[in-house]
Amino acid sequence: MPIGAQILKFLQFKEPMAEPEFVLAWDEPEETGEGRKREPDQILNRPIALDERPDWELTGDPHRDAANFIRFFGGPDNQILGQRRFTTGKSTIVILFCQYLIDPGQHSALILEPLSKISKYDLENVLTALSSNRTQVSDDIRYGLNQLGQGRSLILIPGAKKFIMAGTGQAPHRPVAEAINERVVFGPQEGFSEDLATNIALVQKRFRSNLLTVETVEVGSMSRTRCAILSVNGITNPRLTAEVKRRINGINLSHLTDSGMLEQLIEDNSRHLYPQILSTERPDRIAAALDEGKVAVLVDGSQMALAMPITVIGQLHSMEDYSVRWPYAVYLRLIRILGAFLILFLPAFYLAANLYQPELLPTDVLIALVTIKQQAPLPTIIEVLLLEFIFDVLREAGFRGPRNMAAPLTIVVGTVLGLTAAFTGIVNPVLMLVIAVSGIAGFLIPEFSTSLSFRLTRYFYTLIAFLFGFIGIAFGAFIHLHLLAKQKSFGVPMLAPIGPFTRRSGDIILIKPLASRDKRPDFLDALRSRKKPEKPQTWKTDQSQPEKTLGDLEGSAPKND
Amino acid sequence: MIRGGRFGTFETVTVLLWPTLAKIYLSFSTGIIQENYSAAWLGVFLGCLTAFLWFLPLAALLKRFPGEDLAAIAENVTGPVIGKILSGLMVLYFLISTTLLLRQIAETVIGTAMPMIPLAVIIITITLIMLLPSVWGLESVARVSALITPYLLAGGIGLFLLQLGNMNPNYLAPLWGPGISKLMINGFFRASILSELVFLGFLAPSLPKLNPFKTGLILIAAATVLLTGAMLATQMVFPPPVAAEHTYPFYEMARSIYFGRFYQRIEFLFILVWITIVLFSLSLRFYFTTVGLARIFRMPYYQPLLGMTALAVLAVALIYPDYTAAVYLDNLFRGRWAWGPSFLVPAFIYLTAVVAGKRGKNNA
Repeated sequence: MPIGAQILKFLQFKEPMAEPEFVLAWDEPEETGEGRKREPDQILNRPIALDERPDWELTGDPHRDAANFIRFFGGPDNQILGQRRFTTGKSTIVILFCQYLIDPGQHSALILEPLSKISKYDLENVLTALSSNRTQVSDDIRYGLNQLGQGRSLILIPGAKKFIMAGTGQAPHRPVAEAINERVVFGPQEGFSEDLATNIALVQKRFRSNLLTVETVEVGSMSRTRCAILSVNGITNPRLTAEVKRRINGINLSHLTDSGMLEQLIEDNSRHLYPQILSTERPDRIAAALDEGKVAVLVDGSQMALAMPITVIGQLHSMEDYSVRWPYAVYLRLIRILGAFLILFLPAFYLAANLYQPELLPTDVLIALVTIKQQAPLPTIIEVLLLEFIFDVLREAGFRGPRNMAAPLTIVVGTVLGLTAAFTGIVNPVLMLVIAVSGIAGFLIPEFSTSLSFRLTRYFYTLIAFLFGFIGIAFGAFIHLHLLAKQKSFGVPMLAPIGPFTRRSGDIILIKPLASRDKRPDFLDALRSRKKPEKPQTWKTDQSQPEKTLGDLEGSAPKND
Repeated sequence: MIRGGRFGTFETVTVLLWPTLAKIYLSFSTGIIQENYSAAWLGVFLGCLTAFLWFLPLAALLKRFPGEDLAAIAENVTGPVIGKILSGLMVLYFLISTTLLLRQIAETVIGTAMPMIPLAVIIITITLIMLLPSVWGLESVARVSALITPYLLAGGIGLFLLQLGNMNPNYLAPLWGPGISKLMINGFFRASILSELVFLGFLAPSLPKLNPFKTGLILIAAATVLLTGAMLATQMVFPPPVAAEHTYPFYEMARSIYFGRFYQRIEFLFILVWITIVLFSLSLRFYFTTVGLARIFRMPYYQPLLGMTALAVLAVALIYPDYTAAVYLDNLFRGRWAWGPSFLVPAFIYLTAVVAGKRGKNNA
């Protein structure tokens, strides 16, 4: 097509798609008055067992009892819960287990093999067959649900209104790698691996509730890459889960190798500079996101997991903020936000003050700058762009180079280059300081994609400050804010919860003490807006002996065999 | 469909608040001081009160025709020809005010920050920036305006607080300025100070749950306090003869802040605040001009009109011979006569609707 026709086509108005965009609606109590009154059960049409005791009893029919247990795990769609059935004659036993939390080898050797040798299934025979294993007999369904989440297997026996819990090893583990890019001082250091089952187990280790739902889909006609969609029954908005599934199922691709590819295929606007899906290597971050009401996607073969939706504010949060006491967390966040401003604006401010409003600088600083500037052969804008580019080159070399050599080499090369540039007077040493501070601030941003997007935006501000000075920075901020405000991540505005203002969760920029932080983000429209139904520190008000003991929590005292 | 998006009362108020307040950052306050001398702040206050009275028929009209915009209401009530003429008058005012504001911003940028830049370069740049929010839709404008309201307020109020040491209440004497009768007449005409209330009439279809009276009342209250307070502060810093001669009184206020040798010339930080506010005002005016045109011609989308409306705005803004002419016309149209298209036309439509007994489709 000729260039003229292409320009005309670009300028022509295109009628928007008839299909309305996906909006994850949040409640509007002032208008409807119905916001929080919705019952999750009505929306989900699934049994919810968030903090309710199971109201059914064992019948002695393993099929019926298994169906009840499965219902408590969100139904047969949830692939967290695995089951095996053995039939001898007319009697059948059902074994239930969380398939990502058991050790398959031990499960087979200690349970499946002995049970396959029994001629008649009753309580005594099964207990005898499993005598080498650590077993318990109980009739408390809550205890059974709890123990399933701990990686044990539950055996339902015909005619017995009791079940057997058997140890089936532990969650599969490997020498799990440390999170390399999202390092923290406080908090877990584990990172995801490349194996999907291990990654699901790493999440489930931190989210052992029966409400966790995992559904696996395949993407890629050739690669047939398995992707696991994780959500929490009764908390995650089902519209959000359905939208994520719809987008993933709607991908027609031959080869999917990494979660980064999936991210680009399901995000709202792939032309936007800012990431609209959180990409993390930390299982604890995914577990926390699930608890908030987000949806997570794990891709087989990728060590990065995706969480959605996200907001700009959320991208500046680090998992460390939740591990340290709140004053430190507030301080760390403020440093991070200041860092974001330094990345974006520091070179632009330097340029604007140098080229357009030198009177803004204190006279002494200005005189010093003019003296240095007289010796520098390059125009200021070239200096700025050159140094920014060189800094990015060094940083990338540090990331991509051989691990043992990259860091020292970068330091040596950086020092040599800097000193040479300063001593020969090619570049302004003050500017080197500015670029170095701005560049180092980039490391404060916990998420890699967000840091990259800030670094790219910095060039935009640098150029507009070169063209229009401080006025240009204001122009740029005006455009930048509008670009962020118009963008949504799975129906959630990227600037939420401050643009639009939504109900406070106590965890936005400032963070409340942990005990007061009991609300989920309002913009996620989670089915349960509170994380805890009551104050978490009852010991402060209740001086009596707590009623709930460990034994009570885990059900009636089991009989140890 | 023209879809404005999904936002609440606070965002609606802020969307209309900044276009209302932006005028004080340009030459508007100079005009009022020239008219009312030491009682300029009272002139602003009386103007706001008059605007409130004018707003009542507008609110009643929007309540009578819920979910309909002023262009559609005008046609329903007065017929297609007169209705188009009436809504055309309103949109013409939007267009003229946009062009005047565009020219003033460009000239102010040249006068305060970039004296060497050619007018054409800066005015085309500002036109492009004005265009972008309309391309992206009203929702993003509403989000951003609500988001930065606390910071803009802090910036604006901070400016006054930093001037506390320079304020002299004696500059407010004599209290009645040119005399009560003249003050009242000026106050009546200065109802135009809140002429942006008419934009509510074009927001209604985007916000079906909007309560126009409540939103308008909050806006009037906030704008009255802020505009009167700003004028009061300006008058206490500069005596009337000095303030009346300043082209940009607020900029001069910022320039006169002194914090010692290290912190000097911090007015450029203030420029960041005012440029953001006036850009909001400009882009909103442009948006409503385009949307108003689309509604008059019953177009399902306003986007096809964006390019040519922007071109028209740019062309008209360049016609004004100089900054003085733009300020004079702005003082005349936006300052003194804007109440005509903004309040008189809706009031006329309302009276006609009452006499003819017409109601909205959703208000049968």
